[in-house]
Amino acid sequence: MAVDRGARGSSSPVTAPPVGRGRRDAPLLPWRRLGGALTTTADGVELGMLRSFTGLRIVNVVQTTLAVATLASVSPHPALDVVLLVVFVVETVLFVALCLRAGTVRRRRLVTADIVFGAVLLLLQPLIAREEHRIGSWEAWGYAVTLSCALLAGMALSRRWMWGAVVGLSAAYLVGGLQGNMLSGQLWSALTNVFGYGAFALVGAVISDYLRRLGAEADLQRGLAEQAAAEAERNRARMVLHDTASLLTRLGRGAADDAVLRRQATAGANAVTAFMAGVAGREVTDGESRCLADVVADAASAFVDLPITLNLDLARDIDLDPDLVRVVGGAVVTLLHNVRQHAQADSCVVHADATDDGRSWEVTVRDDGRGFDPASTSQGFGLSRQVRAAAEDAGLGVSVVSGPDEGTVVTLSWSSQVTTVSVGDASDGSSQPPDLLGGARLEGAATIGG
Amino acid sequence: MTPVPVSGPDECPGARPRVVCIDDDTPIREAVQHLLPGVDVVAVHPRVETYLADPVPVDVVLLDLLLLETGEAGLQGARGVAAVAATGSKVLIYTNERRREVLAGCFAAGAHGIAHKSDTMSATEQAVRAVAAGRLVLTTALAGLAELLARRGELRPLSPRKVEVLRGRARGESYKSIGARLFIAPATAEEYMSEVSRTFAGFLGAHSAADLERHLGIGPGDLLDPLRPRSVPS
Repeated sequence: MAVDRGARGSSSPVTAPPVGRGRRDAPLLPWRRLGGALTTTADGVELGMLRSFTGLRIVNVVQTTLAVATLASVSPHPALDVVLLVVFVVETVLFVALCLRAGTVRRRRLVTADIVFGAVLLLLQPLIAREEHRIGSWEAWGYAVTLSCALLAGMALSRRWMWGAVVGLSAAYLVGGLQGNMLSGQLWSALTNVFGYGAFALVGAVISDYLRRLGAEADLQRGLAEQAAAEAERNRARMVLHDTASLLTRLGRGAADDAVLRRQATAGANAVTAFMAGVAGREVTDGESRCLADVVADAASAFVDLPITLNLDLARDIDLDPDLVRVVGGAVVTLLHNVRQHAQADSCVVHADATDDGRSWEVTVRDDGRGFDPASTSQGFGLSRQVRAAAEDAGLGVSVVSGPDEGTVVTLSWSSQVTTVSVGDASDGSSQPPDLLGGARLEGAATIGG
Repeated sequence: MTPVPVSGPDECPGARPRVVCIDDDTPIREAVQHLLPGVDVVAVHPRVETYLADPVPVDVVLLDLLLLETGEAGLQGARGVAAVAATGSKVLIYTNERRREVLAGCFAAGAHGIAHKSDTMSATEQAVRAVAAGRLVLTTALAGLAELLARRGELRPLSPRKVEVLRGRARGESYKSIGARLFIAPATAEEYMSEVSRTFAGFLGAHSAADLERHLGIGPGDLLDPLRPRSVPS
């Protein structure tokens, strides 16, 4: 999946992945959505809230059915009591079915209809409940079932519409419940119950807002992770293909008789084959700690076709852990491929140095080739990703200094205290990178990170 | 590697140095005049012995180190350098040899410079002119060796400026770049390097190859021997 989506390019917007989303492909069987595990997505949140509302309504229906069954005989209009219950059940079923089909309770017209229906129920309570039982009794069951309307308003409507629904339900409840002669205390009970509408609506709003933010964040992070995976896949491909392209270029220029190049071409072909088989890309290390000078020398050993000088003796006391062996070796290989491919250099010097206490070291790759203008030329994948990003991830500082016809100097540096990342140009004639070991600093280099 | 002119105030850029080429490679001998159009090649020899039999006075002797293709074992390597230098000629080693200690030994035998056959011809001609003008020409690899000696304290103390110039040269930095970095003229940087180079040559002249390895700790089994088994910290 990552590869397919990655092919769309890194600039594509972050979108939630299809896996785990609400099943919108089953509109004819909406009831299935009442079962099964909820996904941790925004759609899953919506479905979860719909299920919660449905559960509450089922409780309402059961309770109301029991109440009607036992109290209809004392109702002023027993038949109407039963009819209203049936209508309530039917309305609930229709509402839930339509919402399940949509996968959410956020259907304003449906919700408004449900609330209006609830208000009508409240206004009809005087017809089904005796005067002294219209407040605080299951004989007037309208209040109990319309609390779910308030909860629904909180889940599905904007704040303004929600409070409008609360006011409307409260007014209908008071109008329906306070008709005729009231018993002592019924007024206060009714006013107290009215706060229930506001409380249910508020709880619905707060919880639904939070859950929706969680769902949206989960979708966003899932999308970002997917994009990162796709980008990592592209980078892995570039890692293999970048150096192989250099080899192919050399071979294409008629250097096929060069034994070293033939060995490199074989190694490159193996890397591509391994990549296609799903094996990790280029490995420079066998997983052992090694001397810095040896790591650099080994990395440079495949570039005998270049005019290379290796001055590495000052770094023979430095041992690198396996991770740094891989990073430093890979960076030097990539830099020398760049020299071979782009620099047209008469000279290339790879120098390694370290402080006596071993707390700082650096590797410098310098060529006297055509260079480039760092301000107007992108550094390319090899330099920016295979060298800079990999080195920075490993805690190394990276300095790139270049200028048109001034050559290029790339310095990898490590210090137990400070890492420096800089890029500069050599247009002033100076091409010395930031130096952990001697104090000289590049004039005109711009520090871009640290 | 590109040769490095390091000293010599008496250079005459417009003059055409007179050169003798000693090389067992026939194509080199036959083409050297065409390859170095800015110099006058007055004689070519396949062996040091034939040159010594007729030592024409010249500005520079361009000398290959390995002279075996004639099938006769003779003067070559450091002995060949010493023999030619004994005639009073300035020797510019012109070789494919890359082993740093070998080059150092041959340089110590009396050469004024080293140029590699892989260098561009313009760089080689520049090295010839520099040697003709009395300068010493070091390769970047030997500059690295000098830096290593300086770091080990084997060279007599160098001033901070000289150390900075040496460090730059060992990293392949041009005099122009060094000058810009240290706020000095490139010619001043060359002069600093010249003094370092003479100190380096003095050290090489006073020490054998074995001494050199011992001082640097790079002899077989020594602490910095690249082939010595290394203990890996856990």
